[in-house]
Amino acid sequence: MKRFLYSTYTKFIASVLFVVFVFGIATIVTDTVIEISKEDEYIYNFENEFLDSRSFQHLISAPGSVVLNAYYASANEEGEADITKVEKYIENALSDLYCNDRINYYIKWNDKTFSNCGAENAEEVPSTKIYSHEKITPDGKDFYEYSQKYGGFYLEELKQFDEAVEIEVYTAVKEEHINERNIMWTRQKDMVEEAFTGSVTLLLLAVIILIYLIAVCGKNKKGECKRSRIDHIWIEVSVAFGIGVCFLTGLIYVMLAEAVMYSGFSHSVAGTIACLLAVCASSVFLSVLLSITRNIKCKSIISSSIIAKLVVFVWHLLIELIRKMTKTIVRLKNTTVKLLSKKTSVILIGMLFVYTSLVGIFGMMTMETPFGLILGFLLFLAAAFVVGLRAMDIDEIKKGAHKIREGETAYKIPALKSDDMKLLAEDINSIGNGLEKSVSEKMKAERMKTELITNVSHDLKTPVTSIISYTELLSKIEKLPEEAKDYISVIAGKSERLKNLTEDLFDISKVQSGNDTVNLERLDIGLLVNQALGEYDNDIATSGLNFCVNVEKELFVKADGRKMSRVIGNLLSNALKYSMKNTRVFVLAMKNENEVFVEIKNISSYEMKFDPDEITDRFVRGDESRTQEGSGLGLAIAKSYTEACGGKFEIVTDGDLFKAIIKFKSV
Amino acid sequence: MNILVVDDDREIVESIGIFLAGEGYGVFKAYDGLEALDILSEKEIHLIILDIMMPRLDGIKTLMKLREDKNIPVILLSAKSEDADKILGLTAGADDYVTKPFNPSELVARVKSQLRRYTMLGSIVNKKGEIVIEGLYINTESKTVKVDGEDVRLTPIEYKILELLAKNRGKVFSTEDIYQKVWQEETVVGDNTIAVHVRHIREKIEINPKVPKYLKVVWGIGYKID
Repeated sequence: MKRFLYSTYTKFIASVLFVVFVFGIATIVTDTVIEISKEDEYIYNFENEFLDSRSFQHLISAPGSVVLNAYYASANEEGEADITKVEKYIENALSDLYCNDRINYYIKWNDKTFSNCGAENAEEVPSTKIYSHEKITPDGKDFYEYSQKYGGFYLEELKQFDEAVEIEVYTAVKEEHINERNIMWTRQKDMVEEAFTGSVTLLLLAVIILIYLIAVCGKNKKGECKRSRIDHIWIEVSVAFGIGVCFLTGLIYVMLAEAVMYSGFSHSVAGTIACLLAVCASSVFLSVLLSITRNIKCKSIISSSIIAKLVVFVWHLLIELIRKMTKTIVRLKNTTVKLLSKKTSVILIGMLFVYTSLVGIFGMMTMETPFGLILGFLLFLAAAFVVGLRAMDIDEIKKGAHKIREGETAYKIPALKSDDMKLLAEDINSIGNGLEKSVSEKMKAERMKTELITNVSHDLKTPVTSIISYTELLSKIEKLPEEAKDYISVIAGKSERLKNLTEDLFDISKVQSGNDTVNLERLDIGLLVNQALGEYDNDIATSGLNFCVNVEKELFVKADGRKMSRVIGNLLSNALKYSMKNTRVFVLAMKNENEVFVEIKNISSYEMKFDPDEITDRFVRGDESRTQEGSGLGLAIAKSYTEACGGKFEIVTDGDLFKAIIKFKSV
Repeated sequence: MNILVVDDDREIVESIGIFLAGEGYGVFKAYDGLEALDILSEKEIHLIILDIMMPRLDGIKTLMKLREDKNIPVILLSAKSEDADKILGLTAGADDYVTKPFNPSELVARVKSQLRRYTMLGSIVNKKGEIVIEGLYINTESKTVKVDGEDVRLTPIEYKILELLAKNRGKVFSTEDIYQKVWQEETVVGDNTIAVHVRHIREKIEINPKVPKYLKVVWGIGYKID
């Protein structure tokens, strides 16, 4: 059903039907008008019967109106009618009366009587059916007698002309005329009623189709918005076109009617043209109406309307203008308030004083204030100009200072207009110069430091390589005395430590000087902790420590996997090295709302006297460990690496409890 | 077997020479790239240990020069431990990379490994049911593993993990994946069983388990064989 309703074909057929219905209405109306125009007279006026019709009223009141008109025609300026003239007028008018053949009448006016049927009194008027009888007597008694609602209402007015008038009007309509008119009236009534019923039916159908079209247009069966090509025409243009076509149609109708009535233009040709015009006009009307509806439905009414666009444009312009003005005023106020200090304010007050005095003097001298006002205004302009210049300079200085502060140390404030400001600008520029110089020196130093680290580390590594190699060679000689073998093993241990120290030193220098590359990726830190535990499995098994591991699943963070493995590794190896025998080491990895954290807790085998905040600094270690293996950089590297990955690293000590906490934002 | 040792530090060359001679290799010595190329053109050399930072002609340039007509194994030696330096060396045609300061026995092990592979090359035909990744050889039918021609004994679980990773070179397997494929079970929460197994496999197949060549840890994500 929906598919049928929204189908293009259905819509098209509906549109055609609409035009056909309008064409039908036009045809019926035109036909009826043509038919009626062929009759002698159009007498049907939507009354109940002919006797109610205006046509009948005109007949019955004709003689009375003649009398009244006679008075009007003969009255002078004071409203007094000349009796003889009236008499003459009545006589002429009655003889020319258009309906003499349809009515019989008898008029008694003072002593004179008029009749078209030779009657001497009312009773003598020949066989009549419908009549009107009214009588005015000098003693003020009026007498009406008529069988119809309308009739002698003219005579009453006559008294203003002639108070002593005695008048009697009797009118009767001939019966055969009434019969003949009754038939014609019925015929016309039938025609009009038929046409009315027909057109109203068609109109209803057309309206239903129109409602359907308005409901479905602009949407396809899926309810998507669809505009047709003509909807992209400006709405105003299509509306103007529609109105133009309708107006033109109306104009042609009027012209056709005139041509038919006065130039004897063919009824049928005019009717055909009228019907065709109705088709054109209704098509255009439908197109325009549906186009507007589609645009409203697709919410493109504004975009396809020039006026709406213009309104929106003007509105934005206005908003922007107000915004800018407010901004300018605020800025002006701010700078002005600041600048209304000392010198400028003295100048302004001085000018105000001069202005007031001048206005006063000129006012007294000439009573002509405009000159004074203009002069004062000019003075104010001059003051505003001075203030404005300073404000612009201040702005430049502000901009420059801000840029230098933001790190653009090479920025120079351009040449200024006022002298005192110029000095300030030069000072700021030279501060900028100094900054620029020190920043570039610092950068150079940083670069040199990095190079130094690389070179020193290389220069350290080469001799260490030899030491390790030769120590190993020495250790292979079997015929050395026992002491020598002990010494060799000491050298071997120390050279191993020296090796680790060199590597750790290099690593920490690199990360702390920001020369390390960090590859952040999404990884499971819980898995990483497990992997690290796996790496240390042998050491853990032989350590005599009890590792309590509680690692949750899916602890995703953004970090560098290799760096974090080093961090966890360092913490685990610390725990292995410095824990009291036969104690528990806790390794926890879990998350709360938006944080993932890893905790490694152990009981220290020695008294920790260090400051937890300092232990992560380079080379700081618990005293106990200084003589053991390791570089003392383990925690410093752990902290630096964690922070390089965007995490937090914290050491907490409580008595013999050592706790390392790593925190990351959960992702 | 003749090995050429090249480094501008004479003591280092000397000590490496002693270790290699002790293993029965013929040792030739050079102290910069040009000398090395001279010896290469005169003598029959089976492997080179080459330092990178040297005067006259550095290790990388020497390597590129000798790779023009020789495919003998080259082990680079350097004080630079950056990943970028390693990648540069390996792409220039090196077979292995050892950073200073190194453990002499590890270096000797690496030399042996390279030479075994070099001399075996051509004798291994890649048959069906065999996976060969450089010096690592896996026979999926007899379920045996060899590294540089020497048998390695793995437990059934270790073998399954290694085969899974070797069959899907370059793919990273999470512990869940490995559990599902090897045990056909879901992961037990917070377990490091896999990590321990992987560690054991590495101890058996790698020269230096801390710097693995085959079975690599992708931290926080899983394991893979490149």
